[in-house]
Amino acid sequence: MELLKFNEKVARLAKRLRLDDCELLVTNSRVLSARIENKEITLELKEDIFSAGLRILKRGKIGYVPITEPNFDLLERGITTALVKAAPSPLPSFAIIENLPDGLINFDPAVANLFNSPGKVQEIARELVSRAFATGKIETIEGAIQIEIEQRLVSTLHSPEVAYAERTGFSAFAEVNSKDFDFVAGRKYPEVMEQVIELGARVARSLSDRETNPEQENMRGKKVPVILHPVMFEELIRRLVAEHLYASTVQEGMSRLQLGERVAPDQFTLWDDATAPYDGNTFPTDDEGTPSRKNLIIENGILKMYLYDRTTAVKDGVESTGNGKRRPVLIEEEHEAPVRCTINDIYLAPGNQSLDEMVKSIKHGLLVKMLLGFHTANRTTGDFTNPLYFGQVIRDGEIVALPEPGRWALKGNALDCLKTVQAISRETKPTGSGILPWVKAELTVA
Amino acid sequence: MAPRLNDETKIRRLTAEVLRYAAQKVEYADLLYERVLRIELQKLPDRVIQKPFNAKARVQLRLLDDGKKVELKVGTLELASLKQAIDDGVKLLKLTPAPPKPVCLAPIPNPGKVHYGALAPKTFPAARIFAAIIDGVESIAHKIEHQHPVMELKPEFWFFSQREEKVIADTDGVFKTQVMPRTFFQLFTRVKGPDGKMTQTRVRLGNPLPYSFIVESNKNGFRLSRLAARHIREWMEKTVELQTAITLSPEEIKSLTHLVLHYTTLGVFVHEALGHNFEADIVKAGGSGIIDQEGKPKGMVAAEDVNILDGPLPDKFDQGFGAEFIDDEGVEVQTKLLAEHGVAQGMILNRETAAYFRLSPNGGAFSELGDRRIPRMSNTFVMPASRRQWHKTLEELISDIPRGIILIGTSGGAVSKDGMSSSVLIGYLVENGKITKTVKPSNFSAKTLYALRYVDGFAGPISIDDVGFCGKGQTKYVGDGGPMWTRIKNNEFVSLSVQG
Repeated sequence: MELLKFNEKVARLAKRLRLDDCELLVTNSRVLSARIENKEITLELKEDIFSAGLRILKRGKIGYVPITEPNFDLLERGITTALVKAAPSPLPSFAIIENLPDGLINFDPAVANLFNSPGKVQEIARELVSRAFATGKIETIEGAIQIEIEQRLVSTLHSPEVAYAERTGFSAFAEVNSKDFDFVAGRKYPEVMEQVIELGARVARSLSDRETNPEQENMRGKKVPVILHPVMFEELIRRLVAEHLYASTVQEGMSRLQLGERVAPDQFTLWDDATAPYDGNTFPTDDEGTPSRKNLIIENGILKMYLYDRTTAVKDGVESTGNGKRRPVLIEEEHEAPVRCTINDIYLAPGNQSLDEMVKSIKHGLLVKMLLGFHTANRTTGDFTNPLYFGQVIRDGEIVALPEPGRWALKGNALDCLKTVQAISRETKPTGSGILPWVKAELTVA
Repeated sequence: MAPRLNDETKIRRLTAEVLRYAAQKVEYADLLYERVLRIELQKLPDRVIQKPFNAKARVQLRLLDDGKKVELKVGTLELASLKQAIDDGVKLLKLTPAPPKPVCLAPIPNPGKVHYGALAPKTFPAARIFAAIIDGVESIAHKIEHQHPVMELKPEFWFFSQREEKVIADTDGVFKTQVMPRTFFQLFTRVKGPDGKMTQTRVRLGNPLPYSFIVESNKNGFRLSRLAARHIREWMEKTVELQTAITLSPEEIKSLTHLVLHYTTLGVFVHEALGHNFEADIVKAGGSGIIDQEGKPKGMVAAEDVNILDGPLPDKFDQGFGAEFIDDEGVEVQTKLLAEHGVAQGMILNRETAAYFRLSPNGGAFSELGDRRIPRMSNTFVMPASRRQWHKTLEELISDIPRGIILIGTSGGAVSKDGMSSSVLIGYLVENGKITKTVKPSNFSAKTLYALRYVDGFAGPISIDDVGFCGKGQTKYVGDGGPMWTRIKNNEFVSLSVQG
């Protein structure tokens, strides 16, 4: 489906139906994946996965129309139905899209070529599996290699420009013996494909043979030093801290954070971005047509700004910060989700200790890669208490054991946890939706 | 009589042509076409979003040849797109390495039966339904704020009601359709107390029914049903109650003799702790803590008085959010006995894993719009194996507990190979057989094989209307539950931690 032509037809339909304004987010994607289940590799293809989400304005009212087929009879029916029950709009009009940032990089021809060479994808998967089993430490391995090509367009009815990009995606992961995992994620072809092929073997080799529980370690009920893996730290920020950065939360008086307040130690500088090369959210605009930008949120531990979409910006009489995204409430697909304040790709400035030095600095603690069921944490307060899913036990500056499954849980509060940050690693890891270092902080073993 | 698709003839002709094309290229192919027409209302902190029209549709194609398979998701049910997908799929099949064991599919039982389902609306009076829900929730919130003038209530909710249609067809001539209604309501309440303290709860209602169980009509128009109003009021009040809730230290938790789980807590617990371990793809991959890779159950997974089932309650297809008449491979959904008297028995199968383990498919294959069809739970529940320890009321069940905790509600859970996690919304401390204090939200985790080993009592009728959206790479509507109350002796394999 040609998205630019689709957009022109939508504009013609909007004019024929005498809409005052119309905002469109439309995507069309193709995904090739090789799924790994022990020694079995299955290729899967997703083709022409089209989704469109419209917001329409007429006589001060706003309506939402989501569809998954480029079918104009359906779309017209959707618009007419939405107009019957449109709600009063907080926005007088949608954004005028112009002066878009130049030179955003999110398409890698090497990834696109790989999409057209499924044989090579299959070979990479097969080699990954073969090397993992060659370690002699594999009981089970699960994983996948995934290549995506996505066309994405954001437009509004009265804009001189449309935001359009073709984006590639490459990701791979391997989970070994249900005890640990590793991954690569981004939009470009891996600089060293060897790293992808070695994913499973590397995890297998690093697995400790020993398991331990909180009683043996005498940690139950104690506050202990933890090193949070970049994936875990991103979860903490995205699911819990970000909720208190959104202007919508601030405006209803439910944010615990105040501008100018110290929210973390001095070495802590965090920003969000949708313009960085090859990152997950990189695109010329947010989903409302506001140009993408980099937002310095916390500088040297001080909260500098809140994140705005256009609706909250109108209320406060400020500009949107480019954070109006279609963020699901629960299980909606992107095109049917409501537009609201949403953090983009998350970046945390690296620190000055190596990860190895951070481990060595811990007498008795944990490396935390993932907490089980973290999506159930309390977003209103930032409280969480969850079993430790993937992690390692550190004693006397060395990783000595894996946590015994089902015996460990950690609890804390995400906002308080920021204040306990003691060190940030020099090393960083791209997560597919940001680049973050490892962070040393404190949590309680529940 | 099961309802029909409006355009069944057209779809039948088109799928037949697609499958004829596929049959020229591969040994076997089947197709799943799913579409949903939904109305939807979302109340967020600062805005109300009304979607009186939301249309979704996708196709899943599966090609088998020479012991190999390829699965294809296609955006639209159009002949050209589907033929192109088949051509691409044939190329992928050639590149696919032969699996350790050739892929086979168990046959579809009852292949000649075409129509399944229940009456589902073709149109919705969206404006009146939305108004009734908005007015109803606001009115209850105002009343509670009036009773607690120092509390600020912030209700958010999400409602949808939909008509689901699906078609399953294959190169052997199978053609089956299902039409279903499904309705969902979720209330997320946040309360800000006078000292700025914040609390939250979540409650869900969902069933394979039209919208009338959430919004009912009378001569004056539409209004919230009694059921919905009762749940909304009850959980708004619980959110206020949490403002004065206590936490428990690890030592205090260790001193508890019993945990008493409401069916809304038990359901997620059973789903996560045990249910996933019965899914045959997880078993085959070696990821089940209950059944080994050869399909042999590892033995006891619960107390002797516990049966675990998945599927519809016998003859009650209108209960349980995950209920369907046929799965996404066209197999009639059976009630599956997963554990009997505490011993693991069966698995949840799709056609592929049924053939792999030399069993008959039992209607467990589901996909999220166009994704691949994998074994999934539908409604997973505990059924006492006898009436021996089954009491009538909660009061009877807790009367001999010296120090215990009652756990109610959930905000979801997750599973690992040997463990699980489930979040609890509110707790009540029991001392000397009486409820004494409200306890903050908590997390309940357990080692899989021991999760239900220490069950020693039940109370109340069976209910499976706890509502979930199970994620396993793709989302599926599920229900879960059991007796209204289930009592578990505190033990070293379950772990409770309370927030705060």
